[in-house]
Amino acid sequence: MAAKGKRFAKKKHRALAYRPNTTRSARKSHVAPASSATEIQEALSIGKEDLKAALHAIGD
Amino acid sequence: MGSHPIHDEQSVFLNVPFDKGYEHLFVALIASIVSLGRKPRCVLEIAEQGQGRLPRIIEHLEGCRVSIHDLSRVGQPARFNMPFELGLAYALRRYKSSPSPYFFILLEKVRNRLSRTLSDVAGHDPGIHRGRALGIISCVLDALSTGENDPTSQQVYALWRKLMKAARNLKLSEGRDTIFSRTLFKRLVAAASELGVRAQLIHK
Repeated sequence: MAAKGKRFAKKKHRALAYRPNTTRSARKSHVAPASSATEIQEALSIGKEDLKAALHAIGD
Repeated sequence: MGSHPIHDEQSVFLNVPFDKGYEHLFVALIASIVSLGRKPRCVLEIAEQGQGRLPRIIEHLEGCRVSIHDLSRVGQPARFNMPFELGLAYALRRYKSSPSPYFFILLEKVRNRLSRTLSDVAGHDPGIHRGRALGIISCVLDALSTGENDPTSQQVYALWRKLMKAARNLKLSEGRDTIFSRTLFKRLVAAASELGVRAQLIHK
């Protein structure tokens, strides 16, 4: 029983010692939600003519 | 001119060589950034209004939270634009107070070369793309992915192939021999965003 308790304590210690990758966490913490296609196009002031030409170029 | 840059969390400034040999990598950058739901920005999109190029670059850098600097153009003739603009980005990061941190991503073609060509940036490891589109895609995803609903390199690569075809068509339709113009840049981003929606990488 004592051995089982010891094993459990070891596992618990490992779990507490775990820390997520801080670089990625930091990166995630200040990333705004992904933009939609409309938001991307609006940000670049992409007009109807540009969109029409783009759709034509991709074979629409 | 309608595209005055305001501070945008999702905007990514591209400081890269505008030459024919870089076109496929430029398209790969646009494909990667759009696939991540971010907005590619570069100096091409602002109309020249007589104030010169440098104020436009600073204005754009200030409007973005991330900038990508490709320092792979070394050799003759020497190109100083990219390292110079990296210096501007570094100064912004160092001296400009902002609610969210500004950061930059360095790219190089050859491993270990940057430590010789620009030793001042020691400690900032560049992404090595080897002059290949998949290399660029991998570097950008590695630096900007959030771990949630991120596209895979292969998904972005598939989008890049379609976008290259679109770039060729756009050049033909405008009678241009490069994609480095204001109109073609906008249309290329429009094409990338539409392809991104079709591939279900971003929302409409």
